[in-house]
Amino acid sequence: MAGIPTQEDAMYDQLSDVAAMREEMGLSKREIEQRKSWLGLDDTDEAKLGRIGRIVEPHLEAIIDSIVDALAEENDSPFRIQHRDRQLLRDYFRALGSTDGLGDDFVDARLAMVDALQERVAPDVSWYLAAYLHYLLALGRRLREESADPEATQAVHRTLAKLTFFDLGLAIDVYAFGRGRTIRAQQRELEELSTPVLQLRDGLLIIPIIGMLDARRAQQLTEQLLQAIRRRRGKVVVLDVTGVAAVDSRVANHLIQTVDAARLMGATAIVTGVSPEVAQTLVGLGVDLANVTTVADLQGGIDEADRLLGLKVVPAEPTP
Amino acid sequence: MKVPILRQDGCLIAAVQDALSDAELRDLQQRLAEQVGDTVVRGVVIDVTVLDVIDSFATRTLSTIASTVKLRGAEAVIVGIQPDVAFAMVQLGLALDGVSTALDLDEGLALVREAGSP
Repeated sequence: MAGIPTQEDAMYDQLSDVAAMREEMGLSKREIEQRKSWLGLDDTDEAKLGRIGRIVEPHLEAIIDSIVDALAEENDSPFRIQHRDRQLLRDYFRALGSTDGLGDDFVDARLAMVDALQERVAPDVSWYLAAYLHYLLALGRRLREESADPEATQAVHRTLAKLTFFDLGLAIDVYAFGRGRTIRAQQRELEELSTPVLQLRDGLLIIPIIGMLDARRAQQLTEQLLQAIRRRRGKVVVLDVTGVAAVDSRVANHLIQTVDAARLMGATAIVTGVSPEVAQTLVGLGVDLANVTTVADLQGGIDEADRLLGLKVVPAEPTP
Repeated sequence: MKVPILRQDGCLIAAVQDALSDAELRDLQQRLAEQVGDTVVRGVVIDVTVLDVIDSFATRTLSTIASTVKLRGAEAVIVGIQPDVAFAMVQLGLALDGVSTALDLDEGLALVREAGSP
């Protein structure tokens, strides 16, 4: 049908993202080879793919239709497939049934397709299991009908089963990764919330840091701090690290750079709440704290900040 | 394009308008040295808000300007260093040690006023 964008069009855009996705997923070549080895998927299987493809090709549409029908038409079925998604599914299983190689290109293309499927249809694991099972059974039926030789049919079916399981594995990888992505995004959001920049008075900002401070959070912290100095006209910033259990040299150096950068913007940074452990780490690392004002606790830090701002907190006049 | 130097409240204000070449930086240093030498100046404020980059040459020049100004008994303040620029400078070890800094022109002038009245 002309005019309707095919899965191939969308896939082309995605192939460039696939390499990045694979790296993020940690799906290395080694991992793929290992998986094939576990499944017993080897060159003899690959050699058979072409033959399988030729046998299957004339029946592919009917097979795919039977999958889609089986999954879509039961009224109580949780696997409702919209009409517009049928084409997507056709392309999905057609690409699987007509491949003649199992190399990187195949894997990348399959990952891209699952990603597209996740985006458009968002099936869950149950759906994948059901769909693949239907595919395998339907193909198996066709194969038996085609061939008079039961042994050859068995061999071909074995190859098909391995291929199907391999592909199912990729699908579940992408699915799990997608779920992980959501969790990671939420985690990032949470981290951002956990380093709020609070304004105590005009010119006085406080940043309480809670939890593990790694290089990435430290970077994010710096950005937030420097931007806050600019937006809220901070003159003194109190960085409270009471809630930080430990730091490594990278983070420690980063914190010092942050203090220096704040100074370049006309703000003085005071670090409060350095625990004995963190203090020991800093000393041990030979980190140069000459330019950094440190105060034991937050209260002390605020008092020092007030002093720098030329402010003094005095008791209110007793009411007469 | 020469950096315009304005006079206000006994202060010299150099407002950088554009990225500065090495030659323009040297020129600024020269003119400020002359003006600080010729008249009584309370302070010099250099506004670098528009600069995306402050490299080692610029840092050295700003430092030199500050030293020259201070030798004449005046305050020198660099204002308007942007967050990204500040962090990049620090990563390269360009910390402008010993040079007063402030967030913007307002704060810079306030700093000069405060320094003048102990």
